[in-house]
Amino acid sequence: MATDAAPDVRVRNAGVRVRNAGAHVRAYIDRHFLIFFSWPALIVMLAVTAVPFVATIGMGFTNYNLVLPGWRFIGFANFVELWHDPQTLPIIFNTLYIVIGLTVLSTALGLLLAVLMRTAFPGIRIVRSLYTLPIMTAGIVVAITWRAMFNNQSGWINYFLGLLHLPQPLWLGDPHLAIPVVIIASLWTAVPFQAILLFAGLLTVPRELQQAAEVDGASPFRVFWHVTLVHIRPVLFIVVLLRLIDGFRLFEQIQELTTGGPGIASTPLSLQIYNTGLLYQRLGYAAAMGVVLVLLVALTVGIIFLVLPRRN
Amino acid sequence: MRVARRKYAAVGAAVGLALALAACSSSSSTTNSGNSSEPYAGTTITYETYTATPEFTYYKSLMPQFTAKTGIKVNFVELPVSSIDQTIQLQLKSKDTGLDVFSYGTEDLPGFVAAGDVAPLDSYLNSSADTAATYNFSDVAPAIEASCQSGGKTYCVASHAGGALLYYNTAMFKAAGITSPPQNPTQLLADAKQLTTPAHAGFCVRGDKSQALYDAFQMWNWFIPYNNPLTGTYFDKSWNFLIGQEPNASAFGSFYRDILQNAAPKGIATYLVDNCLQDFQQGRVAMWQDDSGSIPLVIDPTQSKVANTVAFWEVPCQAVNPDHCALVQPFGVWMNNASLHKGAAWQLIQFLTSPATQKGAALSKDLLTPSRTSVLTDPQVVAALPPTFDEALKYILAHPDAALLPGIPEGTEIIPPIANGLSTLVTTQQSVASVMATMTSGVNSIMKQAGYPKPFPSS
Amino acid sequence: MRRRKGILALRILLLIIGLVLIGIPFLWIVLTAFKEPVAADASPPIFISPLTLSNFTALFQDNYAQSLLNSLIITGLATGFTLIFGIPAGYAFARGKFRGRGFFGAFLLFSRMVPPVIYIIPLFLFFHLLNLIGSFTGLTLAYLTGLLPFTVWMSASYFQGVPLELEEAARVDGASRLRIFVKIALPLALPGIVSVGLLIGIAAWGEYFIPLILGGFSTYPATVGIVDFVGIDGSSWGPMAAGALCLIVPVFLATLVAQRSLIDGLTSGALKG
Repeated sequence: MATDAAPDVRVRNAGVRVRNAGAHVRAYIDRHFLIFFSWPALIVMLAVTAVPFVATIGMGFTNYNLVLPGWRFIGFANFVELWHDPQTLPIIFNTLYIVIGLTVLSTALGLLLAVLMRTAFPGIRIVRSLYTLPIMTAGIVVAITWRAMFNNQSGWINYFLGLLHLPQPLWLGDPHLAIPVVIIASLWTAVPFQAILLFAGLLTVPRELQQAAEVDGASPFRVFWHVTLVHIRPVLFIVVLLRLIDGFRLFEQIQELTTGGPGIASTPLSLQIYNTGLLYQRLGYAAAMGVVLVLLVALTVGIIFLVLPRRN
Repeated sequence: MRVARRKYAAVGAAVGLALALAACSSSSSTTNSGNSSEPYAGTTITYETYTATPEFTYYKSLMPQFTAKTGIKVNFVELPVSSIDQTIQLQLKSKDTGLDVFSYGTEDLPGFVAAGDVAPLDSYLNSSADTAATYNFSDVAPAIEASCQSGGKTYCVASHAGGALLYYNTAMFKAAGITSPPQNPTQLLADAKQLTTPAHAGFCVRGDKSQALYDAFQMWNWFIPYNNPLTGTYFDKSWNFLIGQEPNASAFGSFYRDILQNAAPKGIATYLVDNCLQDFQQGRVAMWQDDSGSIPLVIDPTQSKVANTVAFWEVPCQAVNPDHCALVQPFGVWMNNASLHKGAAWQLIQFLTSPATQKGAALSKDLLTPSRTSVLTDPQVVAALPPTFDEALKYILAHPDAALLPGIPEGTEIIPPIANGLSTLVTTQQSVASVMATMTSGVNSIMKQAGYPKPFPSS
Repeated sequence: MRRRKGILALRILLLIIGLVLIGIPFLWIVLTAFKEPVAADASPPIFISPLTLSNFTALFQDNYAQSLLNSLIITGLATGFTLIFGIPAGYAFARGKFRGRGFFGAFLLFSRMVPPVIYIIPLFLFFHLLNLIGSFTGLTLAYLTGLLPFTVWMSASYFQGVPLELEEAARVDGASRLRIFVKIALPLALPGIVSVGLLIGIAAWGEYFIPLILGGFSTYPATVGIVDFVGIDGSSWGPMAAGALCLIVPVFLATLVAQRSLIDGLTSGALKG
């Protein structure tokens, strides 16, 4: 009989039935429903990460070493050493270079690709899915592959450049090219990712808005710039923010691609933390760098929130 | 509310499952059901070593034999290079009882000993109940075994003694009219420049900063004096940094810069072992200075174009360091001090480093640099080694420098300033003297922070 | 009209050029996987050379089948548990204020900002105390903390898209909030949930660093299995490319099967995020 009833009648009947059975516990769960739903996740996360996070911050104030026995609190000595370390500034510069370069380029090119993805022609669906493939590829695979492609002697990139009679730069040996190499390899994944997100954003722009502007005589470019882009500001903001945060986390890709070299030319803070803590075994010092990295990310995120427009 | 109950039941089941999985993942089990000839029968121990290495693959193939002989089951774990260094350190640090025996380089010996991470092996070596008479420990080349010993005790048994040598392409030498490999660094530099043609570069060595000095320390032995077995070419007994002392420092620095900037493949400053290896295998470089461990890969025709034209050579020691210029990089088999099955662990160590095992590994070409003198001089083994390698190996073992890093706990801490300096030499034009001076002050400040100068350790 | 056609042609051309650029690395992987190593590093590059399956043989002799199975297990466990914990949390975020919401939100953002490399060592020691190293449990927990923030954010935005009126109507009729979630919110947000599941599954499948440090010999996934071929004295690129191919193909197939859902998933989140 319930099958013929309208949906809200079924719900109403269900509600009545429910209330009549074991009301107290259920009422309690119902009242604190949101807590029951959200706290398990929070507890799991805290349980697993709280101790390590706190331990890492604490380690930053010690001289803990992976190989040497015994350790003690040394106050701010690690941070003082960081301040005086001549490598600190270049590494922070590298970090920002990679993050900003990658974010700007991937968003700009992603926007271009997103616009192109709006093209209507038979097969556009397949083309779009093909563009999602790099996103699915494991970071370690990306790094290994691009390292082979950039190889100075046997890499495909220099081979094709040679065919076109273009100069064949020393990709993996020139300190000035080190970060561009990292950025190019990362763009392979980042541009499709940004493009897909921005493409969705573009889909939300109401046709009427665009048509109204065109009727007013604006050129397609101006329509895009002043109408479309403004409309997708919230999406742009998220996309830029996500890409920025992820840029600071880049690590195994760079490690496998250039090993941070030559020298420290392509070493960002995340890789330096790994080298210091796990290669040179100075975990206390590495933890102090970790604190600095988190502060740097927080600072950058804060600036983005202040500077970029979020509302349309 | 069926749904809610189901949901919480699901979570409960998940937690239960999770705990069960955790319990199931522990490794060692103990049932001591031995008789007197197999006292440890039924025990399972865990041995960790590296992947992608012919020597260890060979040992793995012998495990059934070992189990049949002793009744001990071995959990033979191979870990990738990128994780094993950290994994073993972490396991030792956390006194993990799931690790019994492991293979590892000897450069961290001081740290291991200071932290009590590894078990001394002397009591087993000296006991006839634990060690067969045929084992003959003194057969392990003393100069190599020395890097396993500290404070009069033995902490590992050296299983192989790779050495740094020069791989060179005989066809390219012939084409350039060079009749014999170089006798000193000056000749090496000249030959390298002569062998630098549009078709190939002259000389390769690992130049990347992450190589923990595997590049330069194979070459500064021709310029820096060797002081003592503990600190090698790094420090003298008053803790002066020898590599930074002039005029040797600039002599080495200028040579290093000259050869790598003018006769090496482009991009040498990012070269890992793979890059030099591939360049040499593909005939893109005429000479390569590195550890003998890559020899199997170079003489394999499916991987190397120069399999039939490669030869090996040890550049002779120079006057400044006449007896200890050949860098020896021993690998040892160690026992975890937290192991609960030390007796069984020793049986495995004994087996892996026994004369029979080493000879078998050498004859099957999986271990070209055995640590035992008797194996090295065995005519069958000599016949199985690539020609010219035997001669080079003899020279290495007669002039060994086993102090890869100074044998002090701070040994790994002085790597960064040295590595940075070496990289700067190759990638910039900054004056050699100033680069070496910066390197020296970096090392000195680390030593000072660690409390040096301290009394020099007695052994 | 001609101008329109010209622009259309230009756009298609650019798209195709982009596809070629995207495809070249994949081509390298496929070609290298079937070459003898000596042909793989040749210069100038040899594109076509005698095909061989030796790389795959080497791969599977190294127990790669086990690694692939581990990848499957870990991905399944991690995705499953992340959804179990994350979807309800996302719903809670979408539906209003609750005790700890501000803190939770900030903590999620914070943990996304912190690269694992920073806390991996204390995490190792902590897990070691609990005997979780090398266990699927430990790995699942570690993956959970990485995947939860994204899941909570994305599912929150999907649930925000479910009209409140529907839920309020049911509420008025006396349905409990749990029932509303199960009968109304979840079904309507299902497409988004499925896409989130696919995305985090793909992320879990490609994770490398966490299992490298926290995994054990018998639980290493395929991403770590690949670097088995990086040896102390040299690497073998042939088997590595073969392994990379084995890693990519399942994801490729999953993509083909779930095209529309994936793109929807990637896109809808951004709209409401």
